[in-house]
Amino acid sequence: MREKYVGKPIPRVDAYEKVTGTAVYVTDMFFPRMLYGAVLRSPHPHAKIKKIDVSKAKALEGVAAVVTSKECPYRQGIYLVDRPIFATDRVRYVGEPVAAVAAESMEIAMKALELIEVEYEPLPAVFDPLEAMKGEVLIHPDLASYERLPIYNIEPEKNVFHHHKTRKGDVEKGFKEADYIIEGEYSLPQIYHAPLEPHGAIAFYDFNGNLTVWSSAQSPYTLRNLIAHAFKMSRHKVRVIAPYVGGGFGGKAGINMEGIVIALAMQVPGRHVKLIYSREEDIMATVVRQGMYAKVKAGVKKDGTLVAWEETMVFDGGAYAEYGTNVVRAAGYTTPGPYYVPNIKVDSYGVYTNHLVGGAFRGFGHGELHWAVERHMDKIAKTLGMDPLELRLKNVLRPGHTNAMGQKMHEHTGNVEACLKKAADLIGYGEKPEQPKDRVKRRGRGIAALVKAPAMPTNAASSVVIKFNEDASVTLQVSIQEIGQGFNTAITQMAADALHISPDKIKVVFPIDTDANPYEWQTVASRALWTVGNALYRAAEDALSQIKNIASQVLGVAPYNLEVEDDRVYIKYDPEVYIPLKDIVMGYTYPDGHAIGGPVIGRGSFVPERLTNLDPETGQGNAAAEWTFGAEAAEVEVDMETGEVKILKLVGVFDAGRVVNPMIAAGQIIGGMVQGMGPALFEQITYTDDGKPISISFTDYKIPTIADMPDEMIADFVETPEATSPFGVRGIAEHPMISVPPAIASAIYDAVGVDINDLPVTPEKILKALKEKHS
Amino acid sequence: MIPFRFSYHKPSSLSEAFEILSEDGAVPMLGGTDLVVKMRAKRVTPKVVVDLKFIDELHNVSFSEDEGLVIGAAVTMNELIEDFAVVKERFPVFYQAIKKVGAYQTRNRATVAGNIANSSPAADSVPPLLTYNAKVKVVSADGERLVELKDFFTGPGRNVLKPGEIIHSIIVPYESPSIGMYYKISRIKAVDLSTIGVALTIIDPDGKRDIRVALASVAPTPVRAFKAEDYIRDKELSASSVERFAELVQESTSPITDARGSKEYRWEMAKVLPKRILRELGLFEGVA
Ligand SMILES: Cc1cc2nc3c(=O)[nH]c(=O)nc-3n(C[C@H](O)[C@H](O)[C@H](O)COP(=O)(O)OP(=O)(O)OC[C@H]3O[C@@H](n4cnc5c(N)ncnc54)[C@H](O)[C@@H]3O)c2cc1C
Repeated sequence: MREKYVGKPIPRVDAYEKVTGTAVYVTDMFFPRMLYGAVLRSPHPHAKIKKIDVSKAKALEGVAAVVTSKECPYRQGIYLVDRPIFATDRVRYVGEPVAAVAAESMEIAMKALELIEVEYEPLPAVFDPLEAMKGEVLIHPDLASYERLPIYNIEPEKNVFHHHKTRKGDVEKGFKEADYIIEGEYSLPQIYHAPLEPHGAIAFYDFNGNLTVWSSAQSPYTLRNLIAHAFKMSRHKVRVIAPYVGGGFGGKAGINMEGIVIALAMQVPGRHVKLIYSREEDIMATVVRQGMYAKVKAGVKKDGTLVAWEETMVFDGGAYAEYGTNVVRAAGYTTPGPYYVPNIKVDSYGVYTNHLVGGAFRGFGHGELHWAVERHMDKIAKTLGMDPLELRLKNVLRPGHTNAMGQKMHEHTGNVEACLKKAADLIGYGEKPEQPKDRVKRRGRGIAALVKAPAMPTNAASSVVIKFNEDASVTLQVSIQEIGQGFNTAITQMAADALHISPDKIKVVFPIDTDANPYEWQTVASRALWTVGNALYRAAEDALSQIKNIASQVLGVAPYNLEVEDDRVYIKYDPEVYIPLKDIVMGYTYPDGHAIGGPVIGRGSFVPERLTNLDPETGQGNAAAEWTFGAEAAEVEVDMETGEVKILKLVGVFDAGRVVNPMIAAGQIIGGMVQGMGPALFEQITYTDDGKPISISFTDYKIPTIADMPDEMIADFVETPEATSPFGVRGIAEHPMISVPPAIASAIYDAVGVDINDLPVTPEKILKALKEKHS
Repeated sequence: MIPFRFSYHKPSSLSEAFEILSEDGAVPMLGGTDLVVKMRAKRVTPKVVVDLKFIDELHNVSFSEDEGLVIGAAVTMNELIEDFAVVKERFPVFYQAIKKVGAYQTRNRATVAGNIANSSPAADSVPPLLTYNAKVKVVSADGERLVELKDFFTGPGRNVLKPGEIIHSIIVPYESPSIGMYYKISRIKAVDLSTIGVALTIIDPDGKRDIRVALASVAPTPVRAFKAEDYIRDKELSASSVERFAELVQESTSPITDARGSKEYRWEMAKVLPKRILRELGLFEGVA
């Protein structure tokens, strides 16, 4: 691909709208006669619903509709249809919707909620996934009867919604060859996405049975699909319009709270119903990242060569599986991350508990798996007396190796070794950091690697339509959502290069409207530039060939002798002979008035090539389209008296293939590293002993603020062009968050010699470990 | 949104305020940074909210060596520390503590009087004020009274104010130059309540050297460690005396476990931090 705009730090196309506050989000939208929705939620983690009486609420003046599972008996779910829109016979977590109200004002709606009477009979609940696997309490007794994609492997008597298996080589043989067998346990709690904008949607049902939903959604088309599926509607009757999303991080993928507001709207055709979640509802009743417990056993040679890796991961999926099914699968097929191990046995379990619902979260299982893998690599290094970086460099996946699912690595797959070396360099790995005069404060450095591929169905499709306007400017239609990642800017740059026109002449159509924009699977998995890039390339080729075909007739030369550049089509061997592009893109009109051709519309679509499902018993196959490698490093200062940790410096280096916009890419990396600091040091959903969530507001759920920022953050790249992308690109969006926690934990060890294996690494845990070490 | 109906008043004089405050279910408001948060969560459901910000006399700030620092109830924390250099110069530990309340935006609205009236054990401005022997001027339709800050709190969220009484101003006596430190441990560095807050103030450091300590978030109310202060008065700061002093500070606390930290951690820090502050002030060499 000839590059003129790709690689340049062009300012964001949405910058003015965002900084002036004129960008429109769902919460900014109002319609005449709009009603306001509110939701009644379960106060119990697990209980039978004996009776719901809505009569008093219905009788309240100003109440337009009250809905329970009686009016809306539907379930939803992306891979496993297990989540009722309204709790039916039982509630399974604190915060689960039981009923909803639409009223003339928010105040009336809230009042109506108080008038709904629900009688519960508490059931025994289970909060620890290991405990849940014993099956003494069954959270989904009917799991076997739920509709699901066949690639997911349920174990209903154990509360397991997916059990993923990887079997590569022969681990037993590997352990026999090993000089050391090293075991460890690692865990992390549920965490919250904390987008600036909470979830919200508006629904409108008309008298023809057409449904329109405005939603803060990452995946307009998949949302449409899941709505239609849940409500048993034809796809063409459902229209999703997705304005800007104020942060998604996976939490706004698929379907979430939309079903509630749709159910309300269906009761009041002709009126819009709006439902915007409060922060408390957003934490409690959308999705969170799953908790995880992992047990690892690694076989290693004296020289540090990994020969066997056996691991069990148990995910706390909460009350419903959501994307968790595929998180469990992705973690299962990626372990042990960026390292070559000939013999691998991994069992990854997704387990129901009566905790908040787990779902997709930036990193999609990889933050979890790398916490275990990278902590364990440090443990191996310590046992062998080897430098942790040296151990990593010895074992990284290199061309010719196979990964856990048996895919062969090539030169063009990406270069984790280069990432590690660059990150080590940038953090000053190897030299001792200068220590503060105060002897209770010690500094240390740590490094961790990572790898992630898009976790998606084998046929996750994308499409692009390029429409030329009368003046040869272009409107570009795609259905990837701008969730802050900068997609609209980057795709503009790529389209400019593909079409050989200036980016000022291109507009990406926004907001996304499924009635108008072409199909796109979802804005998830760090795949947009890669997948849409492919579709764009085809659409541009299509448009250029239409232009050249018309020009070829006018100029009397073969299309292959023509070139498009900026605002003209010219003959390659005689560039002075040209036609202005604007005279062609609506068809060419000869001086005598007769015309040929017609408006130029380029069309391109794409599905990943050659992907397969994985063998259910061995996990071998070709499920990943492209792998992005990276390495992250941290320098910290630990206060040995208080256990407080200050992060002095973070470094992230990623093999992006090709960096389309260095400014936006660096922003993405810095944002991701900051998002990784929270779970490393303090973020967690906490519960009372009887399963009530505590940290459901920002008083108790803390995320990093500007005051917590490191003194220095460095984003850098390695560029090994991706062979499956005409632009050479691969994803980097989720990656920067992934290995920040293990890099920080490693730096803490380097500083004060204690290993914390259970996130978050709080001052209390550090002090306790320091005491144990000294006693 | 606040999910119930209430009426809102902004009286411009105290007498007008007293009248409205006598209505059933009336509460006073200053910055609203505690009150509105609680109303939103329906933890308090007043019928009448009386905004005191529009009463001129509650905006006064004055300082003299004899009268001390007088802070009108409606003065925001940012006004206080940005417009009155005397706070930083004469009451440095109080100044440091205010800087640790919430974030800049919070302090644009929050008041010291509100922090005191809210009577949270975690109130950051209170420990330093305790060390400076602050008093609270309370007024009502019936008159006024002065309450020692140390006698003001009766439990978490509870204080000696009677119905109809409001805080008029805070009086911080000036004794002599002071040095010291407010050490706050919290999960994040801003917009977080303290897991523990320790104010250690040394009054007249080059003369009589009176060391005073008060703590937040380690007892049902902010506490002052009088016993520890008595012990260390007139003593050399040696490893053993400081150790004993720190133990006595610790013994003045009775922490519990909550979302911000465990009882054990708070207990331990109640001893670590007084020593730490003395060391950072250069008054004591020892390392724990
Ligand atoms: C984001 C955020 C962060 C925060 N961080 C901190 C922190 O780090 N440390 C900390 O200590 N606090 C913190 N707070 C709490 C709060 O900001 C402080 O307690 C603040 O000082 C309260 O002052 P105010 O003027 O807003 O009080 P208001 O909310 O107006 O009032 C507080 C209480 O006092 C009553 N009241 C008001 N005026 C009077 C009066 N004149 N006489 C008697 N009673 C009265 C009210 O009825 C109410 O019960 C935070 C709050 C928020 C929202």
